[in-house]
Amino acid sequence: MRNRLLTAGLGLVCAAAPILAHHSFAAEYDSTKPIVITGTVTKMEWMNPHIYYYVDVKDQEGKVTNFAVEGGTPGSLYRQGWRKDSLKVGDTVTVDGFKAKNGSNYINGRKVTLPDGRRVFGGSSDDGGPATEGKQ
Amino acid sequence: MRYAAALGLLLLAAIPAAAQRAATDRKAPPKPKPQGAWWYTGEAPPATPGPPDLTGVWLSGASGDLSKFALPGQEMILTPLGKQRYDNVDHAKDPDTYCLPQGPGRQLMSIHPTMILQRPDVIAFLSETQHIFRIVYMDGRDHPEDLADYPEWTGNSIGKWEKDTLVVDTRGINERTWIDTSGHEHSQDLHMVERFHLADRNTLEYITTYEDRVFFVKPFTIKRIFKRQIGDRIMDYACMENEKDIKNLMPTIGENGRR
Repeated sequence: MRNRLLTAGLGLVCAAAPILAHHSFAAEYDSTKPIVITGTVTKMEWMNPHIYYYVDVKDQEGKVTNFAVEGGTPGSLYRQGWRKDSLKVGDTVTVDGFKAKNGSNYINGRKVTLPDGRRVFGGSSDDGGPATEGKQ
Repeated sequence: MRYAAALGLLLLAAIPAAAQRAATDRKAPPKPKPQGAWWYTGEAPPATPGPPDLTGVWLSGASGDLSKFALPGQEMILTPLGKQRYDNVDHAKDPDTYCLPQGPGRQLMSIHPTMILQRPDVIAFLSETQHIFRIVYMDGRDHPEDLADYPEWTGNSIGKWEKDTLVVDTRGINERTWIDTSGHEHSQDLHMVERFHLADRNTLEYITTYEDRVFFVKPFTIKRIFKRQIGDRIMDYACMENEKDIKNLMPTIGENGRR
């Protein structure tokens, strides 16, 4: 319940500023393949047309996979309160997203749980992707 | 049980504060009151003779499926070819995804804002998305005679004032553009007439008629509302700076890829 209410509070804030994608969600990502990853941020790319951040995720055998997570455009995220240091190298994040259809390590990130536990919407909102709180 | 109830109450009491704190953290930093021109602050423009001044930063929201924005009796009806193309459009081929100009109407109907710059003899639309622009010639000229041979991604636009309404006539639109994000295409015959009218100083009505007998049985007219973005500006957008989607695209036909 605590999480739900926290998320609802954040969702309201995030809903104020929609984020644009320059592509159809379904042309790249698979809505039937949700994925939740938790790992360490290795890089942040604050660039157009989407921000990308990279996350090292260790599986049960200790093997590390680096995922590329796609977010919204820098301008739209900036208007929503994101900054280029909202995610820093070394931060631990959890990302709720969807896998790329082509089997690569690309993820469309929808919800991001920041190091301090805050959950925020960080995806693209006009791409026809799965509904997410905060999505327009 | 009592402990559980007490814990529940404690949590309930704690949640609103926690939620509020988290929400506050996530908000954009508080902005100072914008200082600058009237079109930036949203204040009343100086009283001047002539047509209204539409200068400013405006936001429409995504074009979506334009058939859903048609005025009563002005609905979009697809020809057999138009329907066949719409049903089979491949969303992996959306020109927007390839960082190409979206087309004259779609670039205004975006979740990114567009700035209008107005002077008596020319008007410019400067769009954040793709950083593309349109020029509307207001000096009485006609479209170029050879326009059909040299179509443009943003078309060729000439305009005039009808009382307080700006009327923009656009032809010669590159047929590779889509008129909306849901994937409605058009032929080189597409003719657009856009009407811009201030409902109030910070609200712009946009009523546009699309005529293209190859794709649409009859002209149809849509209406959208643009809101002035007080204190906002056109931000950076170099689409190819870090484009990574194109290599991951898969053919995605018709309804499967609508956005």
